Amino acid sequence: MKLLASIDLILEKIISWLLYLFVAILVLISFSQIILRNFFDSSITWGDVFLRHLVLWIAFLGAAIAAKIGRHIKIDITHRLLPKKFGKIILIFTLLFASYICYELMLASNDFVFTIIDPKEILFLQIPTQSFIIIIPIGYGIILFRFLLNAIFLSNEIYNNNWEVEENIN
Amino acid sequence: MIKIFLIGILLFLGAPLFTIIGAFALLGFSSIDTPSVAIIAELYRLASQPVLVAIPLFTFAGYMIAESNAPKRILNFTQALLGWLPGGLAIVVLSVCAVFTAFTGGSGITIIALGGLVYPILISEKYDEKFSLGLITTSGSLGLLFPPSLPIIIYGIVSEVSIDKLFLAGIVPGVLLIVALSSYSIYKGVGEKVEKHKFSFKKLFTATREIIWELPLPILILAGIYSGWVTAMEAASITAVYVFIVEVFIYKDLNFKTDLPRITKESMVLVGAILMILGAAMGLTSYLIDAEVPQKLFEIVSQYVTSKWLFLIVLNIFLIIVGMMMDIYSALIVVVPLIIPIAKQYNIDPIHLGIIFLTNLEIGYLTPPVGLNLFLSSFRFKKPITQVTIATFPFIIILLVVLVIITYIPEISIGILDFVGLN
Repeated sequence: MKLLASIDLILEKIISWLLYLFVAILVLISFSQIILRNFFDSSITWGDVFLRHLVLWIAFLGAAIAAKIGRHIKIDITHRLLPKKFGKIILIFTLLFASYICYELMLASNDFVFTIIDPKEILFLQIPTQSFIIIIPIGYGIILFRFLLNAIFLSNEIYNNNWEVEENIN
Repeated sequence: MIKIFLIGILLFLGAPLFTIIGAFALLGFSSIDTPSVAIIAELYRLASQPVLVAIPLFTFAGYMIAESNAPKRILNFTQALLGWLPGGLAIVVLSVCAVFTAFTGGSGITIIALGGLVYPILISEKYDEKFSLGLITTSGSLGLLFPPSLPIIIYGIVSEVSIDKLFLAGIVPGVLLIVALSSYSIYKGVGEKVEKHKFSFKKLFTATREIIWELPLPILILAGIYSGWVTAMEAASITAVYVFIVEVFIYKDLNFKTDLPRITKESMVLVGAILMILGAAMGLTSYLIDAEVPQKLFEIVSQYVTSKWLFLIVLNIFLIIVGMMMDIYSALIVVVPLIIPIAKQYNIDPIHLGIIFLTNLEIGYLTPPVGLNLFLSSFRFKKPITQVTIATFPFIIILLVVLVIITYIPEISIGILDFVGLN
């Protein structure tokens, strides 16, 4: 349990730093494009393609953080209407389901990256497309890991007779 | 069938929506013997949409504004500008919330960030408690029709309609909503003899000087996009850079080391959550269109709904229910692809449809028993849900009247496009 938690902590640090870096690059390059286009009549030819793929990375990294803190969008009518006692059990149930779907999506995207996309396909500047879209299976993998981890932690809490659902993992 | 039922139950038990959509997509493709890799191929199509880049940029900028002292400055400025009118403070609240929601995307953040600021002022100026509560709850989702609101961008991506045109089309209906609510506020203000303020040039001058760096922003965005000088994506980039410089270096509201990492993370969590749903929905939608679901839906609907007018009524009721149950992003991403082909059969302009959608979802936020704003308000002001619901009731009625007008007079939305020659 402790080992899993500390792996997750390191993961969180890496994801956070990558996010800061990527958002900074996103802002800088998109802004340089505007300056170049309007004042120097030129542009970074691969800039727009790069930015869109960068957003893909940002999306999966952001989603990985969302998975940890329970911020993925859901219909929370039951949370608003049902008694709180059931909260944790329902939560574990939905987390396990979500993990399974992420597992399926991870396999599908793995297929996509390694069988559908030609390894020789170049996105720009000699960089293969594969190395950009590898984030899709990796992303689903991290989200899967975190859903499972939350389910494990919650089960452990129930085992320790703590039934109250905390606000930060809802 | 049993699988669909089970997924349905999990949906209402609160499983993350993108996994529900993903599950339906997986199920759908396996039923027609298509490998699930098709879902990912559809997801990857997102990376060919230029406007995709605008989503993280606008969200980042919006979060920076929300976390700075900008809400307070906007409030002071608007109060100096409009506070002297009868019911002036109420109008101030409406306008400030609308501007704020346009920039932050209206996921309830308005009520949390601004509600606490304006509620005590409303009470201290002797506005009725019930009126104040209803006003703030309603204002929480007002402004979604104004650029650069994220829901408009999402609608544009899902419906493949030009974002620039949507930004234009939202202006008049958005103003109409505010004017209608303001009129009610003036009527209430006159009736209840709330405190009146004198207009003071000195106050306006001080407030303007305070906000001088943020004031050009809406004008910059509007003028930039409408003059065709920049695209929505470029406007997003300029906004992000501008807000960053102003809040971090000029006003120094945000600390580069302590605030910015947190804001980056918070805003990108929202971006991640939205794009996960969008990605999964790309897969599901492509299956549904393959399976001709919109066509079949239309055949069923057209048996009962024989005219465009009737269709619009049914659509409005349906959308308010959707808006009450789902958050605005998922509602747009899931429902729009199904409705657009049907609406086309009834000759409804997709831009007009977008405005109808967004207005409905705005009202859905307030619709009892489970509209999100009711809960946020109840939580923020520690009032029972029933009290908030009753307080919001007159406002919902007004919004519904405006909705009917917007729905049945498409010119309110798309007239401006003809006017500037974009249609």
